[in-house]
Amino acid sequence: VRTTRTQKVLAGAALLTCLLSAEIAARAMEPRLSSAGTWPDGAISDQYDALTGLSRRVDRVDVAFAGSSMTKRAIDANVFASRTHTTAVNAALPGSSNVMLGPWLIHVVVPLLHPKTVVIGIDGRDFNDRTAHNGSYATLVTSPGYLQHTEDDSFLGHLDRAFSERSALIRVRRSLRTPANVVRALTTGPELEADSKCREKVGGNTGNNERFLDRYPKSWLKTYTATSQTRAIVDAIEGLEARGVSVVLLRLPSIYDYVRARPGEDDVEVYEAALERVVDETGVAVIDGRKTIPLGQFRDRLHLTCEGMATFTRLLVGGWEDSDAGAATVALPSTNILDEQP
Amino acid sequence: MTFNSIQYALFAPAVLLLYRRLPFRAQNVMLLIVSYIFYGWWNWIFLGLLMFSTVIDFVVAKRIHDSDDDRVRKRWLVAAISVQIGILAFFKYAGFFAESANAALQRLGLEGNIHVLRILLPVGISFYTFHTISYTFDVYRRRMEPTDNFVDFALFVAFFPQLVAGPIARARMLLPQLARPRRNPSSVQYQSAIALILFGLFKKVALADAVAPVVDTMFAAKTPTLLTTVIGAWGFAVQIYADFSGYTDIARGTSRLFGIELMRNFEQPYLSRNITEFWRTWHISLSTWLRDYLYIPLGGNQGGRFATYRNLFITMLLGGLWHGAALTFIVWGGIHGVLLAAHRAFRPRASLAAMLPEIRWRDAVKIFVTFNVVSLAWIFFRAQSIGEALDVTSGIFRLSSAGATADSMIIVFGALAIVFLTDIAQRNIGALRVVVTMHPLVRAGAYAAMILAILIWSGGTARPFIYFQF
Repeated sequence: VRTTRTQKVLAGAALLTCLLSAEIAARAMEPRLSSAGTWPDGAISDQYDALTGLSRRVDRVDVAFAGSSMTKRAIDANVFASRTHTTAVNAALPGSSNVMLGPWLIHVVVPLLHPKTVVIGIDGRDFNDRTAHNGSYATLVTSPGYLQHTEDDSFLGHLDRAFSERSALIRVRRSLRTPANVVRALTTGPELEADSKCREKVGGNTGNNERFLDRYPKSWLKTYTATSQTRAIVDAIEGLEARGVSVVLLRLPSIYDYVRARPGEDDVEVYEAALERVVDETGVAVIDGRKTIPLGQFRDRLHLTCEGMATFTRLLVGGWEDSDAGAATVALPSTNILDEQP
Repeated sequence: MTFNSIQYALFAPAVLLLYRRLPFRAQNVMLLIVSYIFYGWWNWIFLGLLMFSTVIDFVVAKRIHDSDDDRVRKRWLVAAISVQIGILAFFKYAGFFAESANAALQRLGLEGNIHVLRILLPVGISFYTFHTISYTFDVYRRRMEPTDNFVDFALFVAFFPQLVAGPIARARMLLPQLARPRRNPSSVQYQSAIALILFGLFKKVALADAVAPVVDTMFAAKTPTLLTTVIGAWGFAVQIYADFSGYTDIARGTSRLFGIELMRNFEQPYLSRNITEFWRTWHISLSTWLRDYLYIPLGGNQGGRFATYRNLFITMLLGGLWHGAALTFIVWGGIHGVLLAAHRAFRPRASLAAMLPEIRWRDAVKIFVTFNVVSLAWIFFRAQSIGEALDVTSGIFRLSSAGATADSMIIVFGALAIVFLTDIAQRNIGALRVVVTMHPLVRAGAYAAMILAILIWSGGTARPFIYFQF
């Protein structure tokens, strides 16, 4: 079967039309498509989308909060911003520990939002070398989303970025690989607000859930050492400061950690010594918010309820002003919550 | 340098441009040099091994041909095969057998302290070893004359499109093509070559690599369920077929651009109505090699029913072992050996049809059953250990959908549907006819769809072709 010249031209035109149509469709879908499928999990993906959405609206923020889901659930950045007359974002990374914070802050948050100050929420759990989150570090730094966002110096990395700048289809192609997420994003749209309104999880306050209390000490706090995590947070602080970002450590509200759930006080000493080492090495300012929140305002003994978040944010604003005035360590008002434990 | 890499996308057209500008003899020399460069890209140290294998069989085949004494001829054949199999065994199986022997000794209460060698496996060694053995064997059987031209022979062994993962070329088919001047491909050949390369890339990037992470997740499920096992097994069936046939399509398409035809390696294997038909259509270059150089020398079907079953079983067992030094491959080969023997026992005439039949609705049940049996066997091929294979298989008995996501189902079932639909079209219309008889606008649409799918699934670290490890 011979193809005539006209047919060849028509076929070529048809092929180009198909590719152009796909590019137009990708451009139309792009604002509604999240980065689903390119990051290790949905929570990181949502956080990344929120930060990129915010970066389109503001050139830089004054304060970026970082840490794990405990930080995410402890601080309402919008309330904080309005009370301190700053711009603030809660850029915490659910499921993270200290080793993940460096790459996330230095290669994602800082280039996107150029914060003046980064407040890192910390807890003894983040310093545990044996945390269950260690595997997440490798997953994060090898994920397509991270590699695409950071400087992948390979030839393919350059090629990818060059095409990504010009083609929406190339930009969104990783998201298109998860069809169910695409359908979800197109029907509901992504949340582009960095700090969406606080919502309680279904089931509400689970502060008295003993199963939660039983589970974590066994799996996360076993054979506690704090060597690599301490090094990681020192590196993260130094990396941030080298980029002109000032850093504050925020000790997060705590109920049972190292006090009740752990048999013995040895690990508390290991953690406190590690934190002291960090402060000595970096000279970083610390805000101590451990004893601020009553049990009833904890959702699950780690994360706060919306009421707890509001309380803690309000208390933080007061401490923030003291910290801004140059105090090396600021203790937020204590409610002696540790005495409330049954 | 893999077929799905940027390097190859630059390498192949550059070689083709140069090739077109050279006279015939210089073309072969140039192809040999670039084939060695292509091979040396992985590990240049193993180039010496490839050249050594080439020289051995080139010399031995001539000695066999020059002698009229059957004993001398046989001695040379045994010597050549011993050297080739010896090299293969050393690099591929020495560690496995030493480990197995140590484990066996320890079970007997003895101290198993045989030194286990950890050697890097030379890429493509299983394939080029079989190339050279088939040449020497065919010369021994007087089915062909040995070539006097070392460059032609070396190119037959090392021709880059088929060097690392086949098809396992037969000297009788490939050497004559290398020995005579080749005409430039016609426009239809060009079209079909480009279509083959594009379709092969599509299968590798948009089907095999798309399904691979889902399969990895399903095989890693802590508590396999019916759905994770089905998605894992079907997913791997798609992955290995799309991966390997994709590689073969790119190899055949690239080779066709040089005016050289390589043999077909797949004939829509998942449309098989029984296990015998499956092995007539799956990895054809290996299955026919095993038939010609192992099954028939073992006696084939000439020694009675039991001997036939035994020969089938041994052939498939060794076929499994050829894939890799692991118990899982041996069990996979054994399963197929048993299935082939059982099919032969119950349906002795089922494999005699010369032509592969068009697909009809009435074949659906047989195809479904065969596909599922083959998919179950793939679990052993894919698993890292027999324990893992049994664990994954046990999921069949847990009636639950836990562990499977909507995306995993969409990706695997979608890829499976594409595989079946394209295979049915190729079987019922004809592979080449599908391309050249298609209306140009429809063809353009199909090409655009494949290009888009490749774009969407490309990027990041390219997964190597599965058969590169063999």
